[in-house]
Amino acid sequence: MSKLNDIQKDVLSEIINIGIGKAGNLFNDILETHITLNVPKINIIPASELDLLLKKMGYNQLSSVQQKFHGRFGGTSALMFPTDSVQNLVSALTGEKADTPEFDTLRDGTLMEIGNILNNALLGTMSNFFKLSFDFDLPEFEESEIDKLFQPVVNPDSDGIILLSEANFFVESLQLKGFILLVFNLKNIELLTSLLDRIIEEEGND
Amino acid sequence: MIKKNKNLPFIFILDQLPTGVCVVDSNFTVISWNHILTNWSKIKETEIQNKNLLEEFPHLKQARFLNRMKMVITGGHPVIFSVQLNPYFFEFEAKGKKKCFETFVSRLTSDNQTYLLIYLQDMSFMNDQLHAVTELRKQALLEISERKKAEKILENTVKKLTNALAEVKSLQEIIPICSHCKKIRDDKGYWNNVDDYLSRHSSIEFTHGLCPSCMRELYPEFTDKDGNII
Repeated sequence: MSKLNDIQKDVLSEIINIGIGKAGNLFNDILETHITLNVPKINIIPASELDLLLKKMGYNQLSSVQQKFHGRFGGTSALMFPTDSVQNLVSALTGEKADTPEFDTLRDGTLMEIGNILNNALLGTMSNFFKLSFDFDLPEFEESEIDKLFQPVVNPDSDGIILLSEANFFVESLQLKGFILLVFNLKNIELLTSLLDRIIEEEGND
Repeated sequence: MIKKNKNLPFIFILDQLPTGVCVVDSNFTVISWNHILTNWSKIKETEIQNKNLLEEFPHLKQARFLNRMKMVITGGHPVIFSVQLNPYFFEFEAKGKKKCFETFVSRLTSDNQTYLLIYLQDMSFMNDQLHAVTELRKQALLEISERKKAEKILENTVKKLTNALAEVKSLQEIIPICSHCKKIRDDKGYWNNVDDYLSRHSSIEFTHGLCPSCMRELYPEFTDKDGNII
């Protein structure tokens, strides 16, 4: 499929890593608990392969905070967690045990803020690099099976691209795994490649 | 009186909203402070208008609030301060308790001016309910645990009493005893010493000694006429 060549992929991965770094700093400003983030792996895949890939990784149900962005450049940014990771993360941040009925209320709000911080840092970094401003919707929380979770954001018939990054959260002594998903709308792919080429060219000139 | 602002023509709507809403410019100067915020804070719009929000509420200078609000100004991403992680965007009190909020901050642009729209949803009632449910659950769990402990104690006591009753019953039976050697015959026809028999059929334990007459009979050289050891 690949609409991006290897250099473009590298640049995009680097931008994501910078965004994740910013999110890590913000977490430490905001939370009393120290969170370290790292992104060991970034996959760039066709939209149609997303649910297959996630299922291959052994996930059927995920919790997700999705935030849509619009403008010349549109898409959806989502932070996803396997259910057990969500429970551990929210418990570590709020001190509430995961097996209580009120935990669901705590979980949704906490995850919404965590997702908001991460999505904003990531999209803010992209916006700076691409010298484009985005309009953003408010984040939405959803917990569902993978198929249902991505139905509204991924058109399986499209050859749009998806950036899927594993993200490790180190909270106190816990190591929790989550995923960051960036879906770029089909109509923006050409724009994305030209923006990446401009960054590559500017870097080359420096 | 209907509010007017040439850059923000919608501003009169803010007083009609059921949430606390405040608009500040990119320097955090207060442009609008709606009726709900006045109710919560007891600060009238005219008292806070044109003042700096960060000076009026210095805790908002903390990185956890300020850095993210600055990102809204520069990047335009809406920000959520959840009631779980950042419940006190404004520190307002009602009935001696701090109100807690879910706060959203978005960017507005009008006539090349950037503004922040800060809207707060009062979550105090929901939070109180949540804490009340949590307390109830803790109390219920404590009571269940205490009841389980009491049931266990009761169960053990019943077990002991049942065993004791069984012993009493077995000792209440007519026991065949040898009229000379005092051995007791059991169910299988074996003759047992009294101490062996009672040890097996009850929780009685024996400690062995010699009575004065046996002492005199067995060890006459070591005893006086009363059976005491010389």
